[in-house]
Amino acid sequence: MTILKTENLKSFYILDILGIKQSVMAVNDISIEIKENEIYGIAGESGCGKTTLIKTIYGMIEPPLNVMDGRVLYSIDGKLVDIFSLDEEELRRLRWEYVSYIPQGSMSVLNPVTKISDSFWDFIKAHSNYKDKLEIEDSIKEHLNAVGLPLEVLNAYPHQLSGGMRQRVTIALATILKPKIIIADEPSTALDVVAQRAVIQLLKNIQQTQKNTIIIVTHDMGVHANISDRIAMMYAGKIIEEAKTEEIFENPLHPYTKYLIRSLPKIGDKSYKVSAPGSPPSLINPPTGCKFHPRCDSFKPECKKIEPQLIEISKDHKVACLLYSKEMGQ
Amino acid sequence: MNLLKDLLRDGKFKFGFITLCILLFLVILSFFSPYNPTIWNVVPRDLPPSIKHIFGTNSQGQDIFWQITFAIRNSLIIASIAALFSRIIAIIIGLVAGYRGGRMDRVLMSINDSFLVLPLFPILILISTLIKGRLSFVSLGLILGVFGWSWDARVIRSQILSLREREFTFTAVLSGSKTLHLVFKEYLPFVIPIIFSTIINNMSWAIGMEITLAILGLSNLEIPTLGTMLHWAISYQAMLLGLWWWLLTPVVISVFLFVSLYLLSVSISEYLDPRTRIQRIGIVKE
Amino acid sequence: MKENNELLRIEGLTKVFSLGSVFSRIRIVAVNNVSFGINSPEIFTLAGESGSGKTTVARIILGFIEPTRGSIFYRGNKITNLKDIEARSLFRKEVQAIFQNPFETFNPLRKVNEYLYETCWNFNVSRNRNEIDGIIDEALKAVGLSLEEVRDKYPGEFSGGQLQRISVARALITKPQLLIADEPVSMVDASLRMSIINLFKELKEKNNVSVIYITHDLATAYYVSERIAIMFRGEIVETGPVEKVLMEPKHPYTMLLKESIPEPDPKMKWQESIRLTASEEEEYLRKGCKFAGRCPYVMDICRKEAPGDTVVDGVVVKCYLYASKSEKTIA
Repeated sequence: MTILKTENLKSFYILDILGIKQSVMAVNDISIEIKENEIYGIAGESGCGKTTLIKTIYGMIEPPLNVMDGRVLYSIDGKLVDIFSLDEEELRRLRWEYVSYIPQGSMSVLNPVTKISDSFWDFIKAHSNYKDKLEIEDSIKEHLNAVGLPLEVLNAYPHQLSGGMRQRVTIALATILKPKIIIADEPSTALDVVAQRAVIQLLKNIQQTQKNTIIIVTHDMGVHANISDRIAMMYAGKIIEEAKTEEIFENPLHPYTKYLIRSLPKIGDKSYKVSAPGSPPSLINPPTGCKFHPRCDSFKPECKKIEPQLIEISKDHKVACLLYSKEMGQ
Repeated sequence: MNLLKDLLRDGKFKFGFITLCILLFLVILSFFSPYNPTIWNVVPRDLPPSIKHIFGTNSQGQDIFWQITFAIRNSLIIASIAALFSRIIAIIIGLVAGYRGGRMDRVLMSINDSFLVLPLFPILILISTLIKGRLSFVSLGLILGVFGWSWDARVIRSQILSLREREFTFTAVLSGSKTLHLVFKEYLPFVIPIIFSTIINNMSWAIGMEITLAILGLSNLEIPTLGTMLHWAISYQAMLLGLWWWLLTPVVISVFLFVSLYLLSVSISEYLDPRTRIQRIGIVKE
Repeated sequence: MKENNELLRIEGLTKVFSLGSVFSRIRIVAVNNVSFGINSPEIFTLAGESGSGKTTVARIILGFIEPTRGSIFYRGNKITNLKDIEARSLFRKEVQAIFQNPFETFNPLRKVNEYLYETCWNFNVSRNRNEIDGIIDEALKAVGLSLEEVRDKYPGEFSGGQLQRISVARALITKPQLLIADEPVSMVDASLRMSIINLFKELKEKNNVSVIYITHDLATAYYVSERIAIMFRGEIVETGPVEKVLMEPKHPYTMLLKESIPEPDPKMKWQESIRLTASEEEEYLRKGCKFAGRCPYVMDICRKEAPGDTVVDGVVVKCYLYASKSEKTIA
């Protein structure tokens, strides 16, 4: 059951410096479908547009970001709702109750001069109808227990907690109202390896208990391997491959994905690893045709002219590459 | 030049620049003045503006138009001396205190803070009263300079303190840079926007101070400056006598001067701000 | 006496930071009695999470911070508290470094090639304009770039990977013997990391340069280095050959670290949950073994007294679990 989908979504940053206009094509014609009760991973490197994609999905459009084309549809109570057709009040209600967003570096989202319990308190009051103080306190404690956080954190100030703990508290805050969709942007990136593990496990637990959908954005393929059910690879504002996690790792099809998977070092493996040549392209002046062609070793002249579409090659495995669309005879 | 063209794209700069150019043109005219500004009764008194006397004449028998050219010139000279002098002190103290730290920093900052808390106005009044007659405008400029550096020295120092912790300081040290070279090549580009915006602010402040002192009758009233013109106009009760041109001229000119200086200061410091400079770098190349 | 090809030796290095106000001061021992040696040539990893003290150790070696106690010997000569300017300059020539954030490494308002020129000039590598151009071009070619691509450009015009490579090129101009790389690839895109890591391998194999690789990423550490030291809250808890330490970890913290690495292999997902520390400061100030609060094998003695170094199976460990099984105990 699809819970969220985008149709030909395009959102660019329009910059105006010294009278010269430039468009950063961060989300360039993206159509994806995300299901209920799954963890959908969006992978890709810095500057590929993943953060812009989820900001657009969440409806956080502020200048210089502009939605140029396409729709974002949420399935609410069986009906498809276009998020850009909602007014401010409806949007506000949609957020945090239906879909919650954990931004990058969200550890600093907690108010540094209030205790954690107050942050929870303020949040619940602002977004729900609970009036009874005892009821609220109980629900907070219940939630913390359910996610495995010690109740002592409620009495602490944010600066007294470690980075990993703060991040987990932020996640607990974002999920206390049991949203149907959780969007997490690089939730573990700024953390140490041990804290990272705890945060990722927390997200997994929440998903298994509440049976909701998590959209997780990170460049760390190891994290995706551990938590995501399906992965969408993003490159230069486009989705170039989408498949189940095992498929992506065992049978990557797109040359970029291949390079990426093969260059990941593993303990116990001392074989020689190679990086992809060149560097990621500029989103202002991307290459013509297939955006990866300057770095691709399977390059053919058509790749410069034709932009490959995201096509299903085998069951649930989509690729955007002329190598495969040719085979399909398209 | 390219720089000027870039700056002129900003509307604020355009207005400020043009206004200042007009004022500077008036300053140049002062060298061609047919009248000596310190001598009275060279023209008929109390004449309203006419073709012969564009801004009219005052009760002392001076042509206001030519007076004002001298006034702008002298006020600007005082302001420039004050601003330049105080900048130099601020930069030296700020750079040294920021980079050296330790004892040197503490000593310099104590001196700095003492200057900060000095009640400036009473002291200026005191000094002016004591040396009233003999205060040339150069000396006035220097005195204003001596009191105008402490705020900026602190600002420059904090900038240096934060720059010291940035990684490129380490890179520079690893590249073999010596201290002096480090401070001038690496840090100065960040410090310059502060200096520029404060230079012009400082000038405005100095002009304001000069005007205030003059109106109170505390500076050398023979020298024509914006302040002294206002002083004479007020003491002769120009408003009451209907000699509006005498009062209005220095007031309007002062307003234009302040506004243009402000606009220049804001637009230049915006242009020089490292953050916008960094943004511009990519654009110009492409 | 020290071995002949020991390039660098750190002994008993300690750094204490004093925080707080006049009324309450906390002493944080950021580096506690750290000792190790680097051979020539060798790639040695100093691994640990943030707050482990590894960057502080690097800064002390480079002379940016004064140690509270301890000594550093370079080629047998003591370099801590070195006053002689010529000796310092020679040290800087032979020991270079690259840092974590490629966007902060260079002043955004200066052209990148100016640093390359200055390094050449200041260390007397050459004072002849044409020669300098040649040397810089060579250094850039070694990292996969060229002088033409880099000339007259500002840091903002390059990507993180390119900047990091330029940073390496700059460090190589003086033909150093020791390169200290502090988290050199953690801010570089995953698809470009290996090209920089492979550079270090090349440096060691072709140019006999030693590298101290500082990181929290054990996977790349395994790939590139021969020996590794694991740091936790200012202390080295385990040191040894990288195969032994990472494939058969002995110290409980090393075990935890290794298990927590997200393997890029969906078949190997994490199984158990782990305990996180609530407050980092608390661990720093703990008496006894600093890991006692989270250790699954904790014993009474761990909370009372800090363990010493024990040698087990070619690996040096700081843990009471091995105190009795040791081949030799160092007090």
